[in-house]
Amino acid sequence: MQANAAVLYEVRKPLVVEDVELLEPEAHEVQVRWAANGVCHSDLHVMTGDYPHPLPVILGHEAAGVVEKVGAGVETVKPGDHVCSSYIPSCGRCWYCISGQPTMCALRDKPRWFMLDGTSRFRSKGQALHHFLQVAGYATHAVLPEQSVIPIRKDVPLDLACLVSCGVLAGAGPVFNRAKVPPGASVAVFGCGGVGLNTIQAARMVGAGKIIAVDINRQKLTWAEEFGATHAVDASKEDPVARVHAISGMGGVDFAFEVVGTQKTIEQALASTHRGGTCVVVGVSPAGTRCPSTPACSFSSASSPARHSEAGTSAPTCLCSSISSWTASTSSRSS
Amino acid sequence: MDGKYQLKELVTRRLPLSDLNHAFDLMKQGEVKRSVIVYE
Repeated sequence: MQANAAVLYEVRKPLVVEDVELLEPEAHEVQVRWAANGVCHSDLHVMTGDYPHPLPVILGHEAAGVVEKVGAGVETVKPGDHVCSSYIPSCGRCWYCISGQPTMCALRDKPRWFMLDGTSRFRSKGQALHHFLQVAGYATHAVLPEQSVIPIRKDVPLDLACLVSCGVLAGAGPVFNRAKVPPGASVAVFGCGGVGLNTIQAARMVGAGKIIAVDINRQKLTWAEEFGATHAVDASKEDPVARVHAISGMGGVDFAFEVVGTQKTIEQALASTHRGGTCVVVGVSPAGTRCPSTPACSFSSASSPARHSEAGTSAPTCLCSSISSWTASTSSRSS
Repeated sequence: MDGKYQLKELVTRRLPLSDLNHAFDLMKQGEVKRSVIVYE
């Protein structure tokens, strides 16, 4: 069948929106009609070449839609089901999955731009197109491995549900799952864009005490306050580390979340925690970014254990279901 | 937890796929929380 898709043929060139051919789903694959896809900076990293990737590719990894067709052997979804995309597939059977770390699933060792058999389902003028993170959300329709879709309830609008697939999962998940922020804890969030705002509202939901938003963009700091930040620090005007230390009242925060991906902000987040505090790096970094260990922000001085979080260190299925439910109940209350 | 996750408040713009390049320009300018591409 035909799908309309945005294709990246060359880095630093505009995406080409065109009709492409979509092949039938093979065994254990699912064809989805996407309803919506959120625009995420990780796509931009590929477009600029910061994140090297085979081309041509259909980007988009924050999608929600409706299952249209399933290949042989698909058991978890059926036509008509509403689904979120999962940009990390989870097989449910490997060591990682059964030990409670589905975002580390062994399927990640396969090329993440093809179906699990190592081939593409998209063609343009006879040329195979890569599926970004096995999702390809910038297309009207796509084929995905069964393990890359998560069924959700049908009373959540799909143009909101798509946000859970990446921004919410990546931003809120670290608070719930990686850091397990307890009520009353102090939190700093470096970077208040589409992911960081979720970190802030998750911190609010768990009852964090001080929630300190750090950004260089005044508008984003205003949004941060709307989502629950108790303090805003404009890093373009003052030293954010010194300011976070001062606001915390105890030489640093309990938890710092880095949601930008630059060496500078990773260093700042590390340095903003107190002795024994925890820094979680969420931001996606351009290839080659280093995370240095200096006396000021050492991993070994017992000052600040640094953790990494990808896809919110979540069981994506659980978090997608939970947040869909929270949203559905909120919408029904307000309607 | 208060059970109210703000999802719709995250969306600044809704755009068709044909405006995707523009959506990335808006991101680079720091003018959006999230843009969402919405299909027919």
